[in-house]
Amino acid sequence: MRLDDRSAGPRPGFPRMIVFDNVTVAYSQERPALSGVNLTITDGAFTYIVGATGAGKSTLLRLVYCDLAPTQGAVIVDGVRLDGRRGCDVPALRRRMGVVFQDIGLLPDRNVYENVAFALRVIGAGHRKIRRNVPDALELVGMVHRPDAYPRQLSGGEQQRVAIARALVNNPPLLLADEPTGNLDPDTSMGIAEVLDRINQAGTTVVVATHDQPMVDAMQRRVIELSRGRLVRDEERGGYGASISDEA
Amino acid sequence: MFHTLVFVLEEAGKSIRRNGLMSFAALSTVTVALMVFGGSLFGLYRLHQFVASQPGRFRISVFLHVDQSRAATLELARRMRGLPGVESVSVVTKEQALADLRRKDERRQTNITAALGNVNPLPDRIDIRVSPPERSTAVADSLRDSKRYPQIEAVRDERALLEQLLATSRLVRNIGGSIAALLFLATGVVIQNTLRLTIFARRREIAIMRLVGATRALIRGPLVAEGVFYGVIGALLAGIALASVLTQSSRYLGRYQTPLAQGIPPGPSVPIMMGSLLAVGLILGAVTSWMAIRRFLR
Repeated sequence: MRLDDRSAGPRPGFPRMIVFDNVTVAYSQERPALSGVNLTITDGAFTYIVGATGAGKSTLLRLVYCDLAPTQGAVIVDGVRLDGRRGCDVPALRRRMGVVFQDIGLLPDRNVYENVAFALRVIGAGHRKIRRNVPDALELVGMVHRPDAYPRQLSGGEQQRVAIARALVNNPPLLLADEPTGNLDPDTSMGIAEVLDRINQAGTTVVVATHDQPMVDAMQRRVIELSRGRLVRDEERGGYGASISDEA
Repeated sequence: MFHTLVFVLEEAGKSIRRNGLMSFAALSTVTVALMVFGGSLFGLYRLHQFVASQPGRFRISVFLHVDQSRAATLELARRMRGLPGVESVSVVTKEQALADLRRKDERRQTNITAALGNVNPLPDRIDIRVSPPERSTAVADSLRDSKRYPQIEAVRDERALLEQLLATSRLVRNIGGSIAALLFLATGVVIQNTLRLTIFARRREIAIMRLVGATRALIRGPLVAEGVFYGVIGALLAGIALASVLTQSSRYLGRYQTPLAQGIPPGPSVPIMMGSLLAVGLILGAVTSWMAIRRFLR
């Protein structure tokens, strides 16, 4: 499936991309990282997960990409019930989603094209698919003009765009981003937000965990707020929320 | 499948080239570890060969009654050849024995044969070699049965010395085997730690591979290929160094051949040594890199 083949709106068969059914995650005997969370994210939606540091945003994303198993409850992603890392086929699941992190950047000894192509090569894609998909992904994030640049030659925002291209290059129906604008200035953050919006317009379900108040306020998309592991707000079109302060 | 294989080999090659200093450190560590392992194993094997060859030099000497006819001696020798465990039988006639004694007289400047005058009091003797040497005592005991062998006057088998040598041989084999096993483990640990460093340098790559859905086998592939590369090339370099050192030293030691060293079977040839070292390098490289990656895949 080419990026431009992906039409907007829910795909037939899987209208609900992500379902959390009364999910609790407890790392220790202390306060659980997530507690009794119920939520549904439909296919093709754009959702911000907001909350203070330690609210449970990253834990929620880790459950979706099967890096963590719920202590109680069930997580269903793209029709697959995830029963923890042992129970699910992690590689197969992750090929159906893209993940962008603030702290896992690009490989410094490879150029932009090679960094994006790397994601296809490790899943055994052939040269034809790489030649076709990599420029498409770079086009989508606005980096098609710098395929030969190395990460050290790029700004923080450009590096993050390439990381998003890498997450998208296999045309996954779901994109997860954990603090994608963490180290970026406001203007650059807005640029990344626009890229994510464009990706969503192309039909990809996008879930972004963020601290970036101006970005969330400006985009006015669905906002799910977590506080101390509990879901405290779920607005169809909302802002960051004035009451959020760090809980760590 | 083809793309995966190409990816594995390309990534291993790139990693070796890009982390030049780390690759050099890994390769030199593996080479030195395999040299120590190979050299020690060679030394232990030669020591075992030497000790194990000594009991084989022992023989049972059977002295017949002096009045036995030559025909009876030869008939007895023929019967002995059929005994289980007997490898070779040689007859030393009383005339040969006297001639040997004369030679000894001349060498030692004694006059025993002269004192005998024209009388030859020596009996015919039959020397027997037994294989394996452990059966020597049983063969000697059976020959001491005077009802079955009335022609035999005495049997000398130096069993105390033989048993000491056999015990030493067992000890050398067991201790040598244990040392070799320990060295194998130690070499494995050294190589594994070195590979762990190279894998640590690639942890970001591994994290990305996991995130984009690479299977464990595919993540392991380039790292195991890298481990095998260090193992095989390290073994090759260690083999070349060892072969040249051993060839030179055996040439030097060859000038000091002692009677003790004679009769020891030749050591392993260079191709056999090289092949064994390559096999060890290959196995250690593959197994230790496989194990070193495990903790990065948890």
